[in-house]
Amino acid sequence: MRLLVDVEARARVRKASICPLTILVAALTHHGRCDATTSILTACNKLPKRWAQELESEANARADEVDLVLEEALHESEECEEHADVDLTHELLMTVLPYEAEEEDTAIISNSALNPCPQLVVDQLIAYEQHRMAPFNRHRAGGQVVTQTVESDKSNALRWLGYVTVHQRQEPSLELFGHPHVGAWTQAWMEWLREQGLKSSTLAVYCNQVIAVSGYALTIVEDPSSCPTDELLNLRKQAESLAKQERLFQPKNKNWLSWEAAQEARVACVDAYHAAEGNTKQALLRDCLILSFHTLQPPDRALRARASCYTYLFSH
Amino acid sequence: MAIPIETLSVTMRGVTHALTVISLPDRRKRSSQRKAWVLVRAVEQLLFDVSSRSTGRFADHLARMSMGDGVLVAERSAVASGVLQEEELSAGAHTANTPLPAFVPLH
Repeated sequence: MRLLVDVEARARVRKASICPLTILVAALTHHGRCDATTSILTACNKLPKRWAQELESEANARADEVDLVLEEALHESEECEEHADVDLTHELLMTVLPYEAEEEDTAIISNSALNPCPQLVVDQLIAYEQHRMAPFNRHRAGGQVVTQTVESDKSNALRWLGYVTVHQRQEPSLELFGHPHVGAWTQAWMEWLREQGLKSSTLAVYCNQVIAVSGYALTIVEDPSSCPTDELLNLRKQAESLAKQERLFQPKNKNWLSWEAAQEARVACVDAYHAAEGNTKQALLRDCLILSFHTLQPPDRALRARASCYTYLFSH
Repeated sequence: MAIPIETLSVTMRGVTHALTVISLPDRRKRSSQRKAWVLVRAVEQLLFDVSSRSTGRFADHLARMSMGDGVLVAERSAVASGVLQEEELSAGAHTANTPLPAFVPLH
């Protein structure tokens, strides 16, 4: 092992600069990924997750392998890095969610909107529209938005008010979005929506829209400091987190087949082969062989696990 | 009391280097929280392959990141001012097989 020593200087050491490991880690991370930073951070057991993912991805590429889950994770962390320098709360307020409210979800709760809509709320919604769509507005965080966004926010505001009016027995007004209990009410509303079978991605979008209207409400309530915006942000983060989990179990590509569907395709192809005659049978044989090649062996990762399992069994 | 010292193995381009980490309380702050410390010079050697005298590149990098204040200069006057204790200074300077490399003022 090579020592990091300036041998000639041993005798004349009078002072040395030392720096906390936490600062070293931050400085090396900021310096960027190279052999030296990677080696030092690995030795300190502080290698950033993204670097580890990149290294694994590069190793996979060298071995002509692709880990789709890893690539997805890398892609997601890339998106996160774009906002790394932005305060999280501010980022949450400004960031557009990567989800859209599902139409079928909206249909489930179409009857829950505030109806009839009092004149006060109508006027406030018009004011809200102006608040969001004005090119310049010193009370607004973020840029102006298009009509579609405002209309969507307004529809959501009416759904939220419909719930709060009925279940929390409040007089409908957009000022309720700046109420000290807005967090508790929104949580109850989201729990109710979940009971109705709405997806978490839809809930995240709805929560985001509540935050948007709450931003306007803070400009019209008497005591905006009592409004717990952080509680709404927490709810949004939690809904987003759940939506990500739900996404994991969705097909990543519409053209992809599940393992089960691939097996069914092979069985169907074999049945068709047995039933066919002549040239068709020969053509189907080719399909059967290709399908069998891809479906009668476990997927790559499972293969590795099983291979090691067999090695263990044979060696014992 | 013995000063906790750990030696990390940093393997780079097939060569393994020893990087000493010493645990000391940071008495510059009210909380005097114990921290793990590394030599700025050693990091500079690894990071920039500066084998001769220090050029202060890593210290410059820390300063650019507004982290220059985090660096502690371990010297006799630090003992006098109470930031370091005598045994801490000597433990850092005379660690077995990993003595402190020369420090050419970086600031």
